Amino acid sequence: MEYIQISIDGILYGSSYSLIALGFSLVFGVMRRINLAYGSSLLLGVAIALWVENKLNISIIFFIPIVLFFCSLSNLYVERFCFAPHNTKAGVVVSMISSFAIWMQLDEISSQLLPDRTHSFPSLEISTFEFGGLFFRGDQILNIVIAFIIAAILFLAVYKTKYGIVLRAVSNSADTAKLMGCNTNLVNSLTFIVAGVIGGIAAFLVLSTESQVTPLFGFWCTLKGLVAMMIGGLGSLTGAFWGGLLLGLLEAHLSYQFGPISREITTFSILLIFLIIRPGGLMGVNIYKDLKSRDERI
Amino acid sequence: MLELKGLKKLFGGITVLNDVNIAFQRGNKIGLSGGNGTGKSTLLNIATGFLTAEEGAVILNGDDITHFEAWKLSRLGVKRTFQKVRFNEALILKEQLYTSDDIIKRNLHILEGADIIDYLYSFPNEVPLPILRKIEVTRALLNRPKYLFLDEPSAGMAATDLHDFGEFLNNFIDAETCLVVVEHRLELMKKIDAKIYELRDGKLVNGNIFV
Amino acid sequence: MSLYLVTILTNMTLISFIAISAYLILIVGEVSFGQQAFFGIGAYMTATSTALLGLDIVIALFFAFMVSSSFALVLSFLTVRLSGLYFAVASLSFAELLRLSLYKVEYTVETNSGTIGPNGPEGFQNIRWIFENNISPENFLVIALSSLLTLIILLIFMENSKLFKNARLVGKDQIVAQSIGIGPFFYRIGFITLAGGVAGFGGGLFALFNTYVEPSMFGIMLGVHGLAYSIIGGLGYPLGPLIGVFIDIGLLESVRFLSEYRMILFGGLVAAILIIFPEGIISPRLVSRIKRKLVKKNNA
Repeated sequence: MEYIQISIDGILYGSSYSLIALGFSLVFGVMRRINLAYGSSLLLGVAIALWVENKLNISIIFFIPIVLFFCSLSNLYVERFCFAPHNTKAGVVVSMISSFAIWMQLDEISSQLLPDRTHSFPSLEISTFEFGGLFFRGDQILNIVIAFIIAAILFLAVYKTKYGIVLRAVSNSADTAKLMGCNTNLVNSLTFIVAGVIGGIAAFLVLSTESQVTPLFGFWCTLKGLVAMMIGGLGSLTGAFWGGLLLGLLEAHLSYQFGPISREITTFSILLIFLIIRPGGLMGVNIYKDLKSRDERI
Repeated sequence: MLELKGLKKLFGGITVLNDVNIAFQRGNKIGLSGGNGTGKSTLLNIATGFLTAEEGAVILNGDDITHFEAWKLSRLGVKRTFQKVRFNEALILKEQLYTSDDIIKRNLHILEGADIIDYLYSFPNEVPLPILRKIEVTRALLNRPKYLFLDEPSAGMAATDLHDFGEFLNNFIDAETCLVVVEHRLELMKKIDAKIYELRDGKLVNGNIFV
Repeated sequence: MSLYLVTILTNMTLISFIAISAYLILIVGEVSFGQQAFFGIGAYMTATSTALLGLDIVIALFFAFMVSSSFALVLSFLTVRLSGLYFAVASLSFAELLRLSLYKVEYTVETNSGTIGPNGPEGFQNIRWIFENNISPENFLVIALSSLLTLIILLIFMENSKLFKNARLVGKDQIVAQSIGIGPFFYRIGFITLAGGVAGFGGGLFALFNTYVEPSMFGIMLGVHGLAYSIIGGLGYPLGPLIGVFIDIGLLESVRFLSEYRMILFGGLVAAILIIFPEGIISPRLVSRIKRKLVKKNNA
C-alpha cells in the first residue's frame, strides 16, 4: 500500500515535470535548438505577474492570464535576443550558449523583483481526497489532467493540422521550408510564445500547489524539464510527457529510500545513466542520425 | 589491393547496393559512373570507412578492415576528397594542407605544377572552386595515398577547368597509386584514361558506355 | 596597491583558469557546462593536501591537477559517444553529481586553529596555508598570476604545434580530420582531461586564497561564467578567455555603480557580443588574418 501511495504521489508530482518538458520539447522539436533560459523566463514571467498583482491587487481569475502573458513575453524576448540572430547552421551552439548567458540575466532580474527568499503564491485551494485508502491531492490531479490535455492538443496540432505541417517542415529543414515560402521567423517566434503559454500554465500549477515561489524556481524548471525531456527522447512530445512521469516516479521512490537530499542526486544520476546507455531516451530518438549525419551528406 | 566483397547497403529499406564486388589494384585508374542516387558515393564512403555496409567485407591486402574507422583507413593509405569541398573558412589554405613546411618544400613541384602556390595564403572564400578542388587533392597527395578516391570532382567545374584538372591528375598521380574517380559525367574519366564501371540498380556493371 | 584591487586581480586570475579550461574543450568542438566541478575537486584536493596532510604547495597543486584530470578522464570516457548538446548536458549532470557528493563527504579533525577537513554542507574550513607561510595578498597574487602566465605562454607555444592544429581540425570538422588520418577520439579525451586538470589547478589556488571552500561555491553559475568568458573572448588565441574575464570582473564588478546589476548587464552583454561576434572577439579568422599580414610584411 505504501509503495502504491508513493508511486501515485511520484507520478502526480511528475506531471508538472511533463508540462515543463512539453514546452522544452516543442521548442527543440521545431528549431532543433535548446533554450536553456526557459525556466528563468518562466520565473521572470511569474515575478512580473506577482509584482503587478501586488500593485493592483487583482483576483486569481485575472492573475492567471497575466502570468501566461508575461511568461510568453519573456520567452519571446529570449527568442529575439538569443535565437533569431543565430539562425544559421553554425548558430546552434552559439544560441545555446547565448540562452545560457541570458539565464543569469533573467534570474537576476527576477530576484530583484522578488527580494525575499520566498514569496507566497495564490493557491487554487482544491482539497485532498481519499479513494480506497489512497490519498490524492486535488491540485495535483488537476495538474496531470491538464498535462495530458496539453500533450494531446499539441500532438493533434502537430500531426493533424495544417499548422502542424508547417511546424514539421521547419523542423525537418528550415532552409527548405523558407524556400517553400514559409515564414520561418514567424514560426519560430510563435513556437516560443506557445512554449511560453504552456510553461506559464505549468509554472502556475506548480507554484499554486506549493503556494510559494523562490528565486530557485527558474533553475528547478530548466533542470527538471531538461531531464524529463532527455529521458523521454529529445524533441519527442509523447516522450516528454512520459519522461516527466517516469522522473517523478523514480524520484519519489529513491528519495523515500535514501532521504530527501538524494532527490537531486537521483535526477542527475538518471540523466547521466540515460545519456550514457540510451542517449535517444525512452522514445529512442536516433541522436546520431539526428544531430550529426542528418544535415550532413558527405 | 583493396577489395570490396559482397557489399549490401540499405537506406531506410531501399537497397542502394546489392552484392557489389570490386577490387582496386595500385597503379590502376578506375572510374565509377552511374546516375543520381545509384549509390556511387555510398560505395566510396564504404570503401573509405565513412559508412559501414550491412553485409560484405572490405579487405586491404588480405586483411579484413570492414569495421575500421575512417581515420585508420586513411593512415593505411586510403584517402578521399569530398563532393562539396570542405575547408575551414577561418584558416588560410596553407594551414589546411595539414602538413609541415618541410613536406611542402619537398613537394613544391606539385604546388607549382598545379598553379596553386599563389593561393596558399588566401582564405577559401577568396579562391575559385577548381583551385580548391586541386588543393583538396594535393592535401591527400602530400600524405602519399595508396588509394585515392575522388568524389564528384567535376561538380561545378567548367569544361576548361575539367581539362586542366585532368592534366593535373595525369601529371601527379604516380604509378604507385590507385585513382578512383566517382562521377556521373564521363569527360574526366576519358581524360585520365580510366577503366569505367557503371552502377545500375545496386549492381556493378562492367560498363562499355562509350558506345 | 590597495587591497581591493589586489583581491579583484586575484579573483580575475583564479577564474581565468576555469575560462581556459572551457576554452580547451571548445577547441575540440565540445561545450562543457561542467568545468566548475573540476575546479571544486581541485580546491578540495589542495585543501586536504595542505591542511590535513601538511604537504608542500607544489605537491598539493600537482595532486589537484592529477585528481581533477582523472575525474575529467572518467567523464570523457563516459561521454565518448556523445557530442554537442548531449555532451553539454552530460557534463553538467556529471559536475552536479560530483558537487552533490561533496555534501556527503565528512572527515574532520580538531586542531588548535579550529576544525579542519571536509564537513559536508559546512565545507572545508580553516585552510591556513597563507597564514602559516605568511603570504601577503600581494605575494599570493604574484604566485597565482605567474602560474596563469606560465600556462598561457605554454598554450601560445603549443598553438603552432601539430597537436593543437589537429585538435582544432577535430573540433571544426571531424570528417576532414578522419579523411587525413586524425582520430578524433584521442584528441577529445586528451583535451577534456587536460581541461579538467587546468580547472583543478585553478581550484587549488582558489582554496588557498579563500581559506575555506564549500560545495555550493561550485554551482552551475560558476561554470556559466567560465564558459561565457571563453566564448565571448573567442577561440582564436589563448588570450581570448582573459578578455572575457576582464570585461566581466575587470569592468562590471570593479565599477561600483555597475556591480549591483552585474549579472543583468553581463548576461545581456554576452548575448549582445555574440550577435556582433558570433565566434567571439578574437575569432580564429581574425587570428589568421593577422598572421597573414605579418607573413606578408616579412616577405616584403
